[in-house]
Amino acid sequence: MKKILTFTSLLASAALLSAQNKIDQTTIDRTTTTPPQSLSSGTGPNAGVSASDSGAQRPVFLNTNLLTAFAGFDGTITYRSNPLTLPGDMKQAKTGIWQNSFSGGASLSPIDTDVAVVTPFLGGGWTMSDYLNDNLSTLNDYASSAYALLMIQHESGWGFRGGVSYANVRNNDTDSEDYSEFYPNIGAMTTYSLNADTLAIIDFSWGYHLSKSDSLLGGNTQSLNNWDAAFSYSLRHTYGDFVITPNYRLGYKRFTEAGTINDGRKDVMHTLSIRADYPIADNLKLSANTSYSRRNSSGGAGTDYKNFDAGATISLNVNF
Amino acid sequence: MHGCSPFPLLLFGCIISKLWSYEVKYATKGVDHLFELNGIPNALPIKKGEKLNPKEYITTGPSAFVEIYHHDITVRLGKNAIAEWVDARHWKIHEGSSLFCLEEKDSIKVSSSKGSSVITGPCTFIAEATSNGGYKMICLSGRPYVQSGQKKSKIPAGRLVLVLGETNALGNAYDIDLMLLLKSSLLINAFEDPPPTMKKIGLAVYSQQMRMGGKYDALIGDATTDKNLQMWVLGKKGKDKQSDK
Repeated sequence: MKKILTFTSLLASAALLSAQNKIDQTTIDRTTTTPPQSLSSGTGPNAGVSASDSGAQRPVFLNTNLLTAFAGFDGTITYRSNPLTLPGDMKQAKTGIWQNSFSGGASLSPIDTDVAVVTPFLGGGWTMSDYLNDNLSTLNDYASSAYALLMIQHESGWGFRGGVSYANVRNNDTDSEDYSEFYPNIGAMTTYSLNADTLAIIDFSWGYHLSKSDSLLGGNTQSLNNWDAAFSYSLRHTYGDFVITPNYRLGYKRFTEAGTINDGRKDVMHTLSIRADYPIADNLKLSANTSYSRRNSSGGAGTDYKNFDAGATISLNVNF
Repeated sequence: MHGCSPFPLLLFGCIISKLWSYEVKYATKGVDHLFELNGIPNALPIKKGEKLNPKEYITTGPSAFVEIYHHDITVRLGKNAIAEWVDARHWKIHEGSSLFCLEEKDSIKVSSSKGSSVITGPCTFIAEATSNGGYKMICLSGRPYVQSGQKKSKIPAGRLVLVLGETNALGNAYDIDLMLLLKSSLLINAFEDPPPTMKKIGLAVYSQQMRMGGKYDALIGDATTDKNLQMWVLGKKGKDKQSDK
């Protein structure tokens, strides 16, 4: 009975999305995975490690190759309360989602200047998503992505980045492309120490999503084109072996395609999340993550919605 | 000199002396400067804001630190140090550790009881006296030229180079973990403010982290002779071993 109710509710709500069950691709954060981007002072009276006047002198060896490669695997299980981003109740068509992600990339040898270090990155990834709610199994998809990024770490402590990324989402059942986009973007990030155990991270980003989506949504394959800007503030707190990271993110999108169902649409998205990381071994990490997000949309076919996520991830990351 | 007043020369000398004098920016208790007065050695505590003149020795006690500066050059001395300010661009480190910040393009000669080198910045480096009469030069920022004897090398940030005592030359060089050094260095952390080149040091740490291939389970110790460098092998608690390289 519960299944029937859920399915009925799903069908009714889906009507609001032009009679189609689809993931709103504009709600997905396609953050690229790259090594640390910004400086932390690493100093202070409580900086740890038994001290000498000069400091401990531990020999290291440095990569002399032109390229430094890295690769990773993430296995994630997530509970999602509102996977279809439907308006109204936060729990609609709730489901578990199993995701397996493989990523890889390379950084070119950093270029040192007097005031900055410049590092080019290239990378890509592949993610398979499997919805555990049988009623949503038609949404199972696999996504591939690629990016080229230039990171500039300035001596002021700000790290700047600019680049372009590509994403492509294909449906498992039909093997058809649901969505693809190019995303030229820029960003800036800085960090500062609040105390010996806590680092504050401020990040700004801005970009344009040049998209191609299913033409059923209003008959225009570019109806999801949008400018977006985001601000996020995180606290990275070390507690024993755990790293706990609460984060607030404010995102704004303005859709640009006139004459489509998204003509004049503007979205404001608030996301509050907290993540705890625990290192199992040098390259292996276990994470728990929970987040609450809320979108306020005006104009066009955008809808207000609320969603709650909770999940766990096991990550394997290696550098070559 | 008949008919010529010595006053202008004295005034000129006084001005030059003031121009080259270092001012004390930070000093804890236990920091003294030693000087001769009428042939008799004297020691006076150094205070913040005081101007120091060339040809003086500066000593620090068991838990004492001092920072002095002159225009774009900042010098910090760690505890149990004996340093001699020979002239405007020449420091002699008899014992202990010292930090030098050259904010602009500049040269400074740093010598120990037996070794010496000329370092041309801008850069930040630590000079730590070793038992062989030389010292360890550890570059924290910039890419200075270091010249000792006939040998001249460009030293990147994060590299330790031995300035040898017996042969007055540059010895072996080692890349060391800058982040660990910064976290554990009292020359960085024991003062009220970070050194003036801290932003450059931060950038050097970032650059080294981006290039990091791996770390050896060892710590570099004293250079007892020109041919022996102590190396502490990190093992399990209570099982650290010392070896000479």
